[in-house]
Order: sequence, then C-alpha cells, then structure tokens
Amino acid sequence: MLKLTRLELKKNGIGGNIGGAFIAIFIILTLLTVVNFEEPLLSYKDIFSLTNVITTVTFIIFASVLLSKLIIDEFKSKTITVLFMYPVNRKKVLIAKLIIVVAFTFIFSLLAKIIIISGFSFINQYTHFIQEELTFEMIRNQFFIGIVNSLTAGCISLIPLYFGMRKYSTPATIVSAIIISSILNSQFGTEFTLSSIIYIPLALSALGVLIGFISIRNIETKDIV
Amino acid sequence: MSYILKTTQLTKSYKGLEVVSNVNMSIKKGEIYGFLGPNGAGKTTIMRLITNLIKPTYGDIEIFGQKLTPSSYDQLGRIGSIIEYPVFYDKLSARGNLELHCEYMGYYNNKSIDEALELVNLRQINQTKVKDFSLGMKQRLGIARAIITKPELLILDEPINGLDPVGIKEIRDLFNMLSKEYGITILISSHILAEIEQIADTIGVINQGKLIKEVSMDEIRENNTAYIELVVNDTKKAAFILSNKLNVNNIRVLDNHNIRIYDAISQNDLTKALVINDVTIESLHKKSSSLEDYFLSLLHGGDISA
Repeated sequence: MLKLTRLELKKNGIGGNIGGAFIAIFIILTLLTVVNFEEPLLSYKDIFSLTNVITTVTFIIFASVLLSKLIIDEFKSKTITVLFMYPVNRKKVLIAKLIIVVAFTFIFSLLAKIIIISGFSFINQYTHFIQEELTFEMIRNQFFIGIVNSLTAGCISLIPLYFGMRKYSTPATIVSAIIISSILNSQFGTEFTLSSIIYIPLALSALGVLIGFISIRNIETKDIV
Repeated sequence: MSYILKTTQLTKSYKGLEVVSNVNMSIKKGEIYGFLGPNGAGKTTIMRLITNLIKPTYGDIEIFGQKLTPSSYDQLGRIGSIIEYPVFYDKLSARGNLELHCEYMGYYNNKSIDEALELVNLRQINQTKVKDFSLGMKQRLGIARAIITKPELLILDEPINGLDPVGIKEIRDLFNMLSKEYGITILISSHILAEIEQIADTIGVINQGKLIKEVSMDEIRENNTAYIELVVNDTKKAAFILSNKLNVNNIRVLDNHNIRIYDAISQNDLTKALVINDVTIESLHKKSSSLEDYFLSLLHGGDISA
C-alpha cells in the first residue's frame, strides 16, 4: 500500500499542488491582515472562526482538484485501463489515491490554520488590531477545534467524487466542491455557519466516506472499457 | 501440448446483444496466433475479456492453466499487451512511462528499458513528453512497454498500426525473435493479412462474435491451390485453345483479359500453344492463393460480413 501511494505521488506531480497550497495560505494570511487595516475585527474569536471557514473552503476545493488529477483524469484518459492490467489489487490502487486526497486535505487544512493564526498573532503584536490577550487556553481549544474541523474537511472532500465520476468530468468535481463547501461554511454575521451545528459536518463526513466506499466497491467486477 | 490460453463458451452481451458468442479458442504455448476478422467482429472485445478489463457474461477463460476470475492478479503479471491503441501518462517521458510500468509489474532490471527502446527503434526521445509523440512513436512505445518484462503471453491488438514500412518489417522480425528465442506466446490481431501470413502459426477467424475457424497456417498452405494467372488480349480464344487443344478444363475466366488456370500444365506448353494460335500474352504468373483468398472465402461462405 505504501508503495502504491508512493507511485501515485510520483506519477502525478503533487509538488505543484503542494506549492499551490502554500501560496494559498500566504494569500489568506495577507488578506486577513489587509482586511484588518480597513476595519479591525473585534476579538480573537472572530479571527478563529474566519480562519476556520476560509481554510476549510479553500482546501475542500483543492481536494477536488486532486481528485480530478488522481481519479477522474485517469478514467477519462483511459490510463486506468493500463493501471488495471497490472498485477496489483484494484481496490488498493484506488484506496491509495483516496488516502492521498484525504490526507492532503487534513494536513494542509490544519497546517493552514496553524500558520495563519500564529502568523496573524505575530503581526498583531506590531499592529495591535486586536486588544485581547491570546491565552494558552484559547490556543489549545482552537487547536482541538482545528483538528476536528480538518478531519471533517478531509472526509467531506470525497463527496465531489460522486459528481465527478458520473461523467468523468473535472468541472463537475470542482464545481460541486465549491458549492458544497460554500453552503456548509457561509456565515451570517461572524457567528453562525451550518458547520456550527456539529451534526451537519459529521453527517457529511460520513457521506464522504460512504461515497469513497461506493466508488471502490464494485471495481473488481465492473467493466472498464 | 500445453495450452497457454483456452476459452470455453466465452460469451459477452451488452444489453441483450451478443457481441461475443460461444467462443472456444485455444492458444498453444510458444506459438504465434493470428486473430483475423472484419471490423466490429469482436476481436478487441475478446482481448479485453482475456485481460480482465471486462467480465464475461458466460463462459470461462483459462490462462496459464488457471481460471481467470475478477480477483486474479498474478496472471496479469505474466501478460504484456496493447489493446486498441496504447495509452500513456502523457505528461511523463517515454522512459518515465516505462519505469512506472516496471515498478507496477514488479520487474527490476536497469538495462531492460534501454534494451526495449532499442528493440523498437525508439531513439532520441530522452526528455520528450509522450503527449508530443507521433502516432508511430506511440505505437512503438506501446510495443516496448508490452515486451519490456518479457512476459510469457503477449496480446497485441493491431500492433503495426501507424508504423512505416521499415517499422513494420522491424516489428515483424522482433516478434519472430521473441517467439523463437524467448519462447513467448503471441496473440496478434491485424487487418494486414500479408503480415499475419508471414509470422502466424495458427489462425483464428472471428466474424460477428463467433469463432468461425481455428486452423494452423501449415494446413492452409497445404490446401492452397497453386494456379497460373494469365493476362491475354482475348480470353474467349484462349479459353477455347485451353480446353480443346491443351485439354485444360479447370480454369476460371475472370473477365475479358484474365484467366486463372488451376490444372497442372507446363508454362512452356501453354505459351507455345497460345502463341501459335495468335493469342497475345500480356503476362503469365505462377501464384498460390493467399491468406486473403482463404479469409474472404471463409467470410462469404458464412454470413456476409458487417
């Protein structure tokens, strides 16, 4: 399995996606800072919630790009026929691909939150946007929330796979990711998102995992033309 | 005689339409099996069935003595193939694609990539991405990928498609070499009968999903009728001379100028008789009916081909 994952990474040039992810993080941090010059946010609570929302949406969309690259494109260009003629278990091949997508989303979503919040608090020391004191307790709480958030983002990122696999379409995958993540994370004020009702992201995560299973389930008996 | 591939009542239907019907084919170890048939006969479908890309509606396939099931993977490692047209990872180079192939196959031999590229005569392509390759180059790379691990069974769907005449000869020699020196069994489908005629040991003819005939090339050659192809200015006169003066009756008049003579007669006697009787001989050829004739007669003997 490890070997399969490594081959997938080598084959698809993930480096570009990783670079893009870091650029996105940098842009988000910059935007956050610039916004505060215009009209400062009131408390760290706002910063946390804003960061969570933006990173989740960003990386679910990134995940859909990866899904396209790793799965949809292989089916569309028929290189999957080559892949399936090798003496390797087809299910494992697909699982390796899904693991990469989920892991990428989780890791970068979490990493983004860490970098942005620490970056912002660092900048805040000079610009004093927020008067509040950043306590260790706040950081710790936020860290746990961040992990849960990133985990659910990882699972939810699989949902666009269903839409993409129907006609092997990259646009369908990415658009569905945009729609899902936006609806899930749109804010009314700085308080309420659909995500705040914890059951909703949980249910969607379960849905994402289910979709992952369905995509793999019949692959050994299904005709690949 | 050990069979490397054997299908029993192999059937595949799509939405009620049988595209492959009750095919019982057998390929002996070490032989080159030519797969012939008109377009849409089912050759590519059968090849996909053999490589587990699609699953049979009915019937069995046995490869290397073991039944092929949806979860048999080991047999795939001993097969090299090109189905329809070769597909690659376009953003990688030729070498990158071959390296990937070897990794997935579990084949580790540093020199084999250079060797394979050499064998198919694909040079000067070091960093070029496959998406910039021409059709012929892709075809050669496909062949290289199929043979690189020296698999026991090669399944090739129109391998000389898109190759230049020099390439066709090179690949023909390559297949002969692989068969003789490495004992690799080759299943090759092609529309170019002349090529198949030169390298195949056994022929299988498919039409409308059914295997019409499976016969060895030796048998075809034995039953080949040799004839003399005569081009004259007046076939009526020539035919008259042949039956009355030379007592040659087994002839076929094709049109105003062409006659085929199936009876044995020396060319000397023939030319003498014709010249004496004032028949102009345009050309005189000794021929034997080719695989093309055999193939066409087989198809028209049954249904009209699609």
